[in-house]
This record gives sequence, structure tokens and C-alpha cells, in this order.
Amino acid sequence: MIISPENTRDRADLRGVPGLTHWDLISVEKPARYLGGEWNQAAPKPGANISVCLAFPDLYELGMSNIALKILYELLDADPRIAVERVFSPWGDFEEILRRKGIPLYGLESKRPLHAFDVLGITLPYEMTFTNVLRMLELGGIPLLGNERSSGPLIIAGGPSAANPLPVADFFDAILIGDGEEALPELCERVISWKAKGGERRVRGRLELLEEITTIEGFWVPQFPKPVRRRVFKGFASSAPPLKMIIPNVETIHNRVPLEIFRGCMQGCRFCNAGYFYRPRRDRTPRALIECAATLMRNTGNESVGLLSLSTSDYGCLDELVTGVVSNRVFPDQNITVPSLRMNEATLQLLKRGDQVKKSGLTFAPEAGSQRLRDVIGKKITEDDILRVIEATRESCYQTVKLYFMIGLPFETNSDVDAIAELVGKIDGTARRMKLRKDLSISLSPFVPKPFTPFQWAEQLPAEELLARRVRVTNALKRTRAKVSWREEFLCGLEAVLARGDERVGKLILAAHRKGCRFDGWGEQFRRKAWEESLKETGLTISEFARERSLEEKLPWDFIDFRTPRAFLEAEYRRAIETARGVVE
Amino acid sequence: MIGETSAKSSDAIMNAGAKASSAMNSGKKSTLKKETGISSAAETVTPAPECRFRVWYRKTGNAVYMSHLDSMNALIRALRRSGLPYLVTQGCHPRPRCSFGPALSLGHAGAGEVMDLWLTGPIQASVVRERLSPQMPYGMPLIKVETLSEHAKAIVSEAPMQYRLRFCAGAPTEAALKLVDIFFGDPERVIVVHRADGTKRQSIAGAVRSWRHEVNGGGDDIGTSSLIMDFARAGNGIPSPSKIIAALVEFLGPERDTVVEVERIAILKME
Repeated sequence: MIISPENTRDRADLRGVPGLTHWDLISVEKPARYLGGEWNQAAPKPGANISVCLAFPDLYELGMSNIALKILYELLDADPRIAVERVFSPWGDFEEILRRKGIPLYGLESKRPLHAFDVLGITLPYEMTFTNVLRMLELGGIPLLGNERSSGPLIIAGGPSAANPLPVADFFDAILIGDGEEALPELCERVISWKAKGGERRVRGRLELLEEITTIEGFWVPQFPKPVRRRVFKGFASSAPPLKMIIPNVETIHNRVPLEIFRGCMQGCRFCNAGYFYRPRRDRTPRALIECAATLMRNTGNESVGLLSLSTSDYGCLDELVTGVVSNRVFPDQNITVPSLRMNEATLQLLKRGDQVKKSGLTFAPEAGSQRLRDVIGKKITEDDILRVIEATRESCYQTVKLYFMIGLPFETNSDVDAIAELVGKIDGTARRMKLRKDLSISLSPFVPKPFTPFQWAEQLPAEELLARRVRVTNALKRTRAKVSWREEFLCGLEAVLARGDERVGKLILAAHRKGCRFDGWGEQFRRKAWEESLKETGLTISEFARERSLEEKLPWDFIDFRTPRAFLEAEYRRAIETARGVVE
Repeated sequence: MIGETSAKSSDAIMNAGAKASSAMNSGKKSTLKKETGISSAAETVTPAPECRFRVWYRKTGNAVYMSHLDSMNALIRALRRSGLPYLVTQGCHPRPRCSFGPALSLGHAGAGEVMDLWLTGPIQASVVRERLSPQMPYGMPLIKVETLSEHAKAIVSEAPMQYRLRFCAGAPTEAALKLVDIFFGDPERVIVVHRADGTKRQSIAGAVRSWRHEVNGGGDDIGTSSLIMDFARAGNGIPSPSKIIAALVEFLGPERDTVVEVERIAILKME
């Protein structure tokens, strides 16, 4: 056999991480998570003015499905002055190797250590990733506390769980509230110019830069705290979505290329963080989207396009869009996936379509079992809607119907709790009567009050009470064929602390990190005892953050102008109270 | 150089498996059923003899850390990006009709891996190569494309294979080579194989037909050497080459770290 020149290079160099050997890599689960080199990865830019690493504080498989990361990566890569890279949380097996060998966590593209970047932008998709953020900083050789960093990369955060930045304020140099499409390039612009003027070399250079960042709308800088206004990307509707997405080398949770058809949701569910965080609603046109879907498939070779939004069946031109994507066919085996369906007429129409709409699983979120409670929380669907959709699955290939419910919603009574199993029983009965061979899967989550929603004042019930209610539901569900899963009550209590917390919560996160907490959202990884000890050490309790707030009370996050006036949220909360009382009385 | 490599290795690679392994197909068993063409999804067409191709590629660099399943998906995406008119399988989840060579273990390089694909109409192999080559995943460069007759035998998974353990400069030591001889030379050698259904002890007698130590070629390889091993067809109680290599490497102890690459050189013609 003749060896080609490419075949003779030093194998260690091919891996590109000094110190990391072949045997290290094959000893870990899915080593491709840590190597980059995927299709559409950004090309090296040796002459770039700044380097930015976008971080997702969870596993590669989850992060590579995250649309925010795709948007920002492609946006920054389009600027020849910016070299953009990615990093994800390493799983325990790989972390152990990094620590043992003293290899710092690195960006996947160039393999440079995190501490050598100019900017590290961390998206916070959900609260239970906060300890992963600290672990990534530590592994990347970056001091954890913002006020301990006098050099090194600027550490910034964004994403829906940064809406209330106070719990993570200690760890970041700047936190973006709102959309990143304009704010992040503006920040990069300031960093480029600051570097060009020798800012890095000045004693107070870093502080000057931080102060400068406070002038960018949407950024809140913990060391220079000022009122801040949530950033809205007004040009979203006419903007191009990411079209050259990186195709992961490891199978991810969503094997589809996402196409964001609209941003924002005006359904007004009173518990929903995303519903308020992404306002106002901005729609892309079906014509543009049809073209984008074709380009996306051609650029990636991926046959599945996901029509993404917070509530896809609310898109006014959904039928036109689906018809357009189907008829503008790129691949013979292409298909469309439509997540985030509401149980409405548009969904019924979609279910009737036999063509190229992928039928793998249907997920709906009735959230509450009784009509009364659905009215209280602002979920605008009726039992009839739900049963009609279930009946409509008869003609489809959908194998699984998954339903999400919340337990402990404000003003929930025992009869509301019982109504969950009653509703599931009716759905099961309908399916049996119609001889539908569908798997029914029920997911139960304790209610977590979130800032900037009408329920930001509401109480989260104590864990024992939530547990009792959950057991009540699961016992009743034994009479049905449904498979049931649930989230732990204590974990959701912590989520409430991390979501509605104030500056004191940073110490709690730090303490949990020091006790080895990581991947807290992953059931088997969650260390309850370590969190309990951390609460004790820091003198904090879940109940002080879970309690009901009075409408007169000043909330820690009131300094943020979220563009939805507090008065509106108050009025919505009052309406919920009235609805609850009106029906009860 | 790539052409020379492929020509030589392709001669060695068998083209005559008797039984097609459905497990190697990209989809389920439905891949062997009727196909639909790109021009008309509903119409059933019989592929013309010229429409089947065998694509030879290497698996190298960081791509060796992609699993077999992920590699297959990456190759299928490359096929879609190429714009070639491929056939698809029927059923609820249609996929391009193609089949792949025997799985490479995670971490193993491949000097001549194969993938068969079916197109909807006659097209020159050179055109297939031209369209597919720029779309191949990083670390999986295309070597060559052959037109196959419709009656050409499918690729089989349990074929004799040749592997190479590439050592870093200055290795292996005499002691290490002695260990290799002890490992392969012991007729009683048994290895522990971990499977989903439990752990088994399997004899490697008859599994390794020959092994030799040879100095690598020129270029960057000067001063390095390899262990070349010929394995018999696995199955019927004979463990797979990857399991034997894993056991051998473990047997080498600390010398293991001098192995910089495990590479499947060829899937050999059946005897």
C-alpha cells in the first residue's frame, strides 16, 4: 500500500490539542463532542482583530441544537475581523482527563484555551446550567468572579435565563437582556476599537471598556449597575436566518435544521418566561422562508427542516409555508418537522396533510387539567380542542402523543389536580374508542414562578406539598395507559431561587460549584445534598425566594425595563386572581 | 498519490460477498424493497444496471472519532449536498438507498472504506466523483468511484481484514515486539469480549493469519514503523479484529502509548 502524504502526518497534531492522546479520546464517551471539524465550521481567520468563543453550558448534543448559538455564530463569522468559535460543557469523563493532564478547556475550532480569547459569550438557556458555567470558566483557566479578573477575556451572558441577571451577576462582566443579533456585534465593535487604542495595556483599561459597554442598549454591567432596557431586534422579520449551520458530528437531540419562522408569542400565558422575553411578535414572510428552507437543506445536506417558533401553529401562513416547502423540493427524502404545536385549527389542518410533514411525535402543553385553571393561567385551549386533535391523529403516522402539565400553579385546588388524570383518562378513552395505537406520555413539572411574567409575584408551593400533589396525579394516572415522567420538586425549588433570586444567590451557586455540582438538570447528576449544604452555608432558604410577593413590593429586577410595563403584568395577575375567584365563588 | 493508493487497496478489497448484510444498510430492511425516483416520489422504478456505484474513501484525522452511525449520516448528507439524483427507500422514513462497508471501531482510521449508492439514471463515475468529492465530510476524503453492475455482490461485514498499528518514532521497542509475538503466538490465547448480552471469553486461535513489523515509507513517516496484521473472517466464534487489537494493545501495557494510530488498511478478497 502506498501512503499518501496526508496519511503520514503526526497523529497527535491532527487532534490539535497538546497533551491529548488517542487513548484519552477513545476512553471517553463520544469523543467527537470535543474535536470540532464539522461541516460548515467557520474557517480559520489568522488575521482577525478579535476572537470570540460562544459557550453553551451543557453537552454538545444539546448545544448544537440551540438556535441562538447558530444565529450568533453565523452572524459573527460573517465579520472578517472576528474569529468565532464554540465550546460546550465537557462530560465528567473528559473533564477528568483535562484536569489530570492540566489541559485547559478550549474552543473547538482552533483548540485555543478559553482564557486566550477576547470575549467569551455564554448563553444561559435554563437556570440549572449555572454551575456548569462556573465549571467551564474554571476549566478554561478564568477566575470565576468578575471583580477578580483584571485581564483575560470579557465574560458575557445572554439568553432567557439571564432576564434577571442578579443571581449570576458575580460571575459576568456584562449581561445582555434581550436579543443578541445587534447587541453582540455592537459589543464586539467596542472591543475591537478598545484593543486598537491599546485598552488592554492601560491599568484602568478593562474598567473603561466595561463602562463603555453600559452605553449599549440591553447590556447590564454588574460593576457599573444602571437601569437597562431589554434589547429588541426590530429588523428580525426581514433579516436572514442562519443558512450555513454547522452539522454536528454526533447525533444531537434534534436531528433537523431549524428555521425560525417568527419570534415572540402573544398568547400571553401568564407563567411563560419565553412568552414575555421574546416579545413583540415578528413574522418572517412565507416567501422568504420557503427560499431559506431550500438553501438550508442544500447547504447542509440535512433532509429535515424544523419550522421553529414558540407556537408554530399560530403562524398565519402555515399552510402556505408548508405547501411551498413541499413543492419547492430539494431532496426526494426531505421532510418538515413542526414542533411547538398548539391544539388549534391550524394543527388539525396540519395533521390531515399526508405529505412530507414528519410524523414522529406530537407534543402539546395543556399545562392544566381543568378548564378553570387553564383560564386562570391564560392557556387558551378547551377540552374539546384537545380531544379533536387527538381524534385527528387517527389519520396520521404519529406514534407518540406527549402532554405537558404543571403542578402547583397559582390558585390550583385539589379538583384541578384531579382534573389532570381525568383529562388524560378522556384522551386515553378517545384513543381506545377509535382504536388508535398511540403511545401516550405525560410529563409533570412543578410550577416555577419567573420574573417578568404576570406570575412573578406568585408563590411556589413547598416541595412536600408539590410532592403530595404529584403523587395524587401519578396514582390516578395508573388507571390509564399513559407513561408518566416528572421533575423533582426540590430541583424546581432551586430553579425558583435561581430565577427569582437577588445578588445573594451568586454565593449559593459558587458554594454548590465548590461542592462539585454540575449538570444539575441531568437527573442522575443532581447532587441534592450538596445544594442543601450550600443553602445552609450561605444562610439562604428556598422558601424565602418561593414565597408570594405582594403587588406593592419592590422586586429585585425592577431596574430592568422589560418593555412590558409592570402595570400590565400586575393587571394580568389581578385578572388571574379574579378568574380564579369568579369561578370558585 | 491518492489514486495510486486507491487502485492498490481496491484490488485487495473483496467484491464478492455472498450474503448481503441488511444491518449494513443505511436504513432498515426496507432498503432492499422498491425504490422511488427523485423525479416522481410515487412512481416505482427499477434502477438501471449503470446506476449503482461504489465510493471509496479514507477515514482519517479527527473523523476517526466519529461513530459508524454518525459517519454514515455524514456521508448521506454529503450525497444529498452533491445534488446527485439518488434513489430513496420507501416507507414512513425514506432515506437515500446506500449501503456501507463493515463498521470501523471508534478511533480506528480507514485507508479504503466503501459505500455503495444507487442513482436514478445512468451517469459517469467521473461525474459522480466530481460532484461528491467536494462535499465529503472533513477527514473522509474520497479516493475513487467505480460503477458496479446490478449483479455485483453486496459488501459483507464479516470479511478478512488487514490492520496496521502505527507507532511513534523510536517505537516499538524490542520488548514490545516480543510481547506481540507472545500475544499472537500463544495457541491458547483467550480474550475477554464485552457484549450487550454479557462478557465472553473467546479464543483468538485461527483469527490472526499473520503479523509483521515493517518500516514505514518516506515523508513524515521516516523513522517510524508499523505492525501489520492479517485477520481471518470474524464470526462463528472468531472475535472481530477490533476486539483482538483492543486486547493486544492492553497486553502491551505502558508501550500502548507509543501506538499513535490504529488503521484498517484493507478489507481483503474472500478466499
